[in-house]
Amino acid sequence: MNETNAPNSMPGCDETQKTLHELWFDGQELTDEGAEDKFSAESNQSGGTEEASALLPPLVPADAAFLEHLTKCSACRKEMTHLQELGCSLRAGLEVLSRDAHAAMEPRITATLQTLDEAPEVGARRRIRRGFRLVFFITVVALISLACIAGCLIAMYLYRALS
Amino acid sequence: MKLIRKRARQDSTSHAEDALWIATIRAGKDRRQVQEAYRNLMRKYWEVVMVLSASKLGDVQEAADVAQEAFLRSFQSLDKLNQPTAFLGWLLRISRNLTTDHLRARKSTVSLDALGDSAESVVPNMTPRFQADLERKEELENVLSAVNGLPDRYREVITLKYLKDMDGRAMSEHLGEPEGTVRNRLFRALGKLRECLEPQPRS
Repeated sequence: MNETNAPNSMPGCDETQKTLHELWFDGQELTDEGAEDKFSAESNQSGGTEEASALLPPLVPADAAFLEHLTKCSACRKEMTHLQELGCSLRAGLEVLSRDAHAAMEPRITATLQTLDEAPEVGARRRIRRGFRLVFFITVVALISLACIAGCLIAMYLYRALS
Repeated sequence: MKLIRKRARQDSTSHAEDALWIATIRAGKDRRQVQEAYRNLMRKYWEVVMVLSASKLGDVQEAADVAQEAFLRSFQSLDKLNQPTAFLGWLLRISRNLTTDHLRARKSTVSLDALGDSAESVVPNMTPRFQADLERKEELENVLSAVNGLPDRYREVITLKYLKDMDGRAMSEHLGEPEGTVRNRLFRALGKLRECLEPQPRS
């Protein structure tokens, strides 16, 4: 059981740390529901609520091994709890900002669309730019083709003149 | 303990529909269709853009201005977007630059005396309901202050993870970056947050 003290690293068992964080990063969260069946792998096979289990993919063996490990390793349990608490705090904190964002959203979106509507030159400019780009591309291709043909012709004339 | 696997809300955040909307805007045939497509894009990402700039600027109105400006600019230069599926990453870059510009402008106009406690300014104009709960407010201030202290790219992944419930794969698709990079960034961001939030040991 190694507890790492390096900055940006998290404590817990080295061998299970990866699984723990992968579960976490993939949006699969382990939640406490009752102290009795805490960390029992059997209860995980049936999933959480029926609705949740219907949606969820079956547990892979790595998960089961990991959950079994959790029953034994207090460092990993502690780590998991830390991650859960941090996640809860972050969600709550961002929720505050999100509420303000939602309040401002619709009027601002309407204002943005109005601004874009009042400036139809944006669309026109885009169409013109696209047209110019196409013409430029065709010109470049044509010039390169002409240069190639001219090069071939010169080479042919030179060959004939020399032979 | 029961295992509940939260299904990431990928349906609502699928990057493929972004590409579809962007194609509609780029085609630009029907003005109403273009408006509708851009409205959908704005609705989908407004929250993320505004939350990120609000956490940086500490002012909701200013953050809304930044978000609006970011969407205007992104519309105007949508032709320059190479990878339509990674619209969010591109949009966040625009908003990041605009937020930095706002901060710079603010620094040049606001006197030093006017700058209050930085941690206090992190939670922007909290609603009265939240002000009533002082303890909770303090906790949220700490969290947001810690998030605000993170580098921009770390804040982005934290916001996508905890606000939009995106997993590593969804984040990598939306940001147009490798999954390993995004996961690593999230891991480091969480580590830094923990360092900031955990009580310092007494020396």
